Amino acid sequence: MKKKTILVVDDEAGINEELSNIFSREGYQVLTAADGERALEEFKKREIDLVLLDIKMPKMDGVLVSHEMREIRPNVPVIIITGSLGNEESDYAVKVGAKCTFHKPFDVEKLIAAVKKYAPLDA
Amino acid sequence: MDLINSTKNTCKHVFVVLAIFGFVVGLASTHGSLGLSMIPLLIAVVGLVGVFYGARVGVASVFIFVPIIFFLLVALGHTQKEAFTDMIYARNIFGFVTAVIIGWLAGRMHDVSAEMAKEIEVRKKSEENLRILNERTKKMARELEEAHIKAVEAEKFATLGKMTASLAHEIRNPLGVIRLAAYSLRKKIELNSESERHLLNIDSKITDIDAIIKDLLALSRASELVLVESDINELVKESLKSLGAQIKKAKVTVVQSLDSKKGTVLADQSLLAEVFENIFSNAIEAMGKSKEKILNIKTEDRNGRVIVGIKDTGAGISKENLKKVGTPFFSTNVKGVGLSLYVSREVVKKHNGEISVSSKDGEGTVFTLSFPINLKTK
Repeated sequence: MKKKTILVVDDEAGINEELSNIFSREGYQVLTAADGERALEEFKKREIDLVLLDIKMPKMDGVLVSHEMREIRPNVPVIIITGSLGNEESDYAVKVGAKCTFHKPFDVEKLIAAVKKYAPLDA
Repeated sequence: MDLINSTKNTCKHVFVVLAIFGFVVGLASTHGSLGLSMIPLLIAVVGLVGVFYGARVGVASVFIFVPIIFFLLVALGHTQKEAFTDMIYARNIFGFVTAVIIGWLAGRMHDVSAEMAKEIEVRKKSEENLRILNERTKKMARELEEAHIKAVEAEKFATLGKMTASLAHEIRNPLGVIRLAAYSLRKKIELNSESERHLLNIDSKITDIDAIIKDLLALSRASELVLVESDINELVKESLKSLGAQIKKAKVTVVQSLDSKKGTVLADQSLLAEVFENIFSNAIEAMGKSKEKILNIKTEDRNGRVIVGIKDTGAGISKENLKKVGTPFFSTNVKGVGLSLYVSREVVKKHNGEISVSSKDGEGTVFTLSFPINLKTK
């Protein structure tokens, strides 16, 4: 069975690296992108099952990236991971389509549960 | 002014007496040969008119009373010649002129008194206007000063808010990496090993640092509340839901008595939910060693305010510490840095709310919060 693919988009290299390790161990194929533009390139090229998306990023912020992704493939679930609290942008992203928001430093188990919910491994 | 008024009043009395006297003398003179006339009556009456109506009317009245007295004398049986002689002619011409002068003088007294009264009134009014103007200027100066202080404070808060928000973001990103790394390490080591305990310690401290950041963010955001019509019960429920794991772990029984008919309040929902979360969380921690662990939450409508009572069966707070509750960086909790209650108090104050705490060592603590009801929607 083909592995599900997650795209982790964060300008903090440590987040990308750690999430990549964690979700690889969980059985996902993980791709990473350090900014919005690269994320969109990956999104267009590959078949992505779920996106973990930061909001504050250089070049192109998460809200815009989320919007573009919805234009390309509206059914791909997007989960926001942000370092801001009570952030209007992340609230807006959820309002217009993202599944939910996780505030850093989030509970890893909860994030894994959410990812498994929107991109089940056995489906 | 008082002197003029009293003189004027004395004159009135004198002229009244003189008028009566003049009338009697005048009448007597018409029937006998006292050699007197109606002139004293004329002088008295003219004087009276002058005192009451002023100089012009006083002098004018001489020309009204002369014909009246003339016809009175005729009516009393005098010939027209006698009456004419009595009023105008010869021996009484002096009396006639005197009547005119008295009428004018008495009238001037009235006029001067009236002018002075008017002037005093104008002066009083000017003084009153000046006083009002002075008070208004003082009030405006006070308001300006207050507005300036508020503006400076708002600016400080805004700068602090921006700095805190930016710092929070910068801190939370690496904090996120540390948590993820600790999680990954835990997955690679044996369960319940010493290494796992160290990693759990790291994780727990990450939670503490995050709580401090949240408090600082809440404090900075308190200057720019996003107020919406809110049901306090919903915020209470939301906060309890967020604390679900902590409540379950601490084996605390939550008793809710929420009045569903009370009014709504204008609230920044996320901030106020955080306030409840802070207070509930403190209460749960305070009950750590208690036999009975009950968190009682009650909401009600009282005197135009929504009251939220939060009671725990925890260790309570000593009298000495009770005074310090809510001051920044005061905490009896080994885990906290003492910001959460300070932040809660500031947030409640920004909602025009009040927060009070009562407690006895060993007998639990009661927090009471009150908020004005949103009248527009009541």
